Amino acid sequence: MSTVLCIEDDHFIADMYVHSLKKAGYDVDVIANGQEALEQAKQKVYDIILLDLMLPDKTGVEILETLRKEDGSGLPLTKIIVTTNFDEPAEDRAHLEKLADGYLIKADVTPSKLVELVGEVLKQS
Amino acid sequence: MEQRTFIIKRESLIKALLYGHFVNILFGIVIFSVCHLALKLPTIQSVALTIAGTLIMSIVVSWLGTRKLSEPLAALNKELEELHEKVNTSTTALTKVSEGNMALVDSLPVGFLVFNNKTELTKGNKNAYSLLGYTDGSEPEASQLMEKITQLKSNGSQINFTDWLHEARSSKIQLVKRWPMVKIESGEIITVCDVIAHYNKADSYGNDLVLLFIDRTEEYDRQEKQMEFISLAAHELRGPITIMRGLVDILQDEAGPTLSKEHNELITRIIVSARQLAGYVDNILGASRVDRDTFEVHPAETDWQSVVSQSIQDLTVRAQAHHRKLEFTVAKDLPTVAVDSSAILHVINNLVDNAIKYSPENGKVIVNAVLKEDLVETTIQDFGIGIPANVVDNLFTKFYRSHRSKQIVSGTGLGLYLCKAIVEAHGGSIWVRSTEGAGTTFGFTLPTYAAVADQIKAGNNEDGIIRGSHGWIKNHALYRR
Repeated sequence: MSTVLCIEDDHFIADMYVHSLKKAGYDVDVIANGQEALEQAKQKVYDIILLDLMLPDKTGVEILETLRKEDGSGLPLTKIIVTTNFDEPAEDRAHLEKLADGYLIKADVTPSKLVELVGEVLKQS
Repeated sequence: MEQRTFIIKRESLIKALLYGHFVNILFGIVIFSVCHLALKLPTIQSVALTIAGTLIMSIVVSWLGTRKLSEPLAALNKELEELHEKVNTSTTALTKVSEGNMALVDSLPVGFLVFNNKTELTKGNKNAYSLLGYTDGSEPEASQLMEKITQLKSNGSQINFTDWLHEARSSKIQLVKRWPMVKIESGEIITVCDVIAHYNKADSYGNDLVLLFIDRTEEYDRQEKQMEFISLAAHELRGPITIMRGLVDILQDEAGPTLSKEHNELITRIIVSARQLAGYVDNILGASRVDRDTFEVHPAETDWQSVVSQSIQDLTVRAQAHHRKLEFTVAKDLPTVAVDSSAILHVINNLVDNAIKYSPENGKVIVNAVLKEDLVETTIQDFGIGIPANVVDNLFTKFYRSHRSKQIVSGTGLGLYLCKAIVEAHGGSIWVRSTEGAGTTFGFTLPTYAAVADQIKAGNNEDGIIRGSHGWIKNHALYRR
């Protein structure tokens, strides 16, 4: 069973994603803030992380950078899909394309589509 | 200047001198003759007297000869003095005028620099110098200024000033270029200017280049704040949209089988409307990025049929909900196109959405794609009410609403404006043909990948990214991290 960590502070959205992912057979954990999420990621191995770019304590980009650190403390084997409802500024685009495995605008993704895309990304391991 | 009446000619001077010499020589001969021959004085005494006499005669002749000069000389001296005074007065006056002009020029709210055809600085005002970082009052070197100018960026991208100037000087008589939103840093101060370069083949003073720096910091700041507001508003709107779309999707999937056909139809309509709402928010964000010149497309080699069919699949649900029929045909063996999938999907969605809206009940909407030379032309045809001619002309303008016609042309007034920007950003063109009462055809062209392959920058890693209207995912099969 593939493991998913959903880092999302809007609990309506988090519940929705958890519902559909669990139904599709994934083991899903939800954490609502960045610092706790980083700690959780150290405790358990996740196949894929859904990372909201707008969190209460840290920016998603900071978390992404921490998870992708190349000094041994990062998680090179975990896929990371960043999620947002913001309009992506052009400057960040290249950076995100380098570090993340996917980028989703939440308002344009239904839960079933999300499950489909998570499957696509995991298939590429 | 008045004609001087006392011009001294060299010839007359020579004449006078010769005359004097002649008189002196004659006088010498006379004295010697008188002393030696008449008075029978010894030779030495005669010579001595002759020398004395001719010396005295020299003085006399010189004095007499130059008497003619004294008047003209006095007049010359006087005139020189007067001229000198006039020059002084004029210089003072000119300096005052020049200072006055410079004060005027310095007080202009624009910075300007004038260069000659050797790219030396002819004139510049304080505004320009301080904008570019020279605030100590000294006039900077032309080369320093040029270096600063070549490093400037407009909207974040290089202005390539050297290339522009070279083009101007090598092949043009006149060339004007405006670079908007140029951020210039001078110490801690950041100014955002429009930079206008005006080239004119060198005038009689040798000047050929004028650069204007128009400070629009406040305006751009305001635009920036407006954009932040729009982004925040859109972000907020997207929150509830996410939930609505998401939960109704789950409901349809899980509760649908337990509900009646009618109730399922209601759910479908919620889905369709929520998707439309999301689309309108995307239109607003897209249009405001076009406005701010920050709109970008990232074309990659794409199979056109798969992009369009992906869109048609989603749009079929919408069409059916509105009781319209959506048909899609594509020419066989269409070459790949250079397209940013997520951007172009907005275009297809907007155009099909319009076609569905203006089609009659049970009407057909036909989407067709064919190859026309090195362009792929896609048309969306409906058989609906059509668009009046006066409206057609303004369709692609932002916020256009026809108050005289009964119809409202498009949802937010932004959809077609954005479509035009997206298509043109790809190097294509968009058009519309309509007959009232018979229907409308929207069409747009896109370049084939082969036609623009060399322009699509290498190192973009575009092959590794699969784009859609939802965002993108990496295709690790192609993209090695």
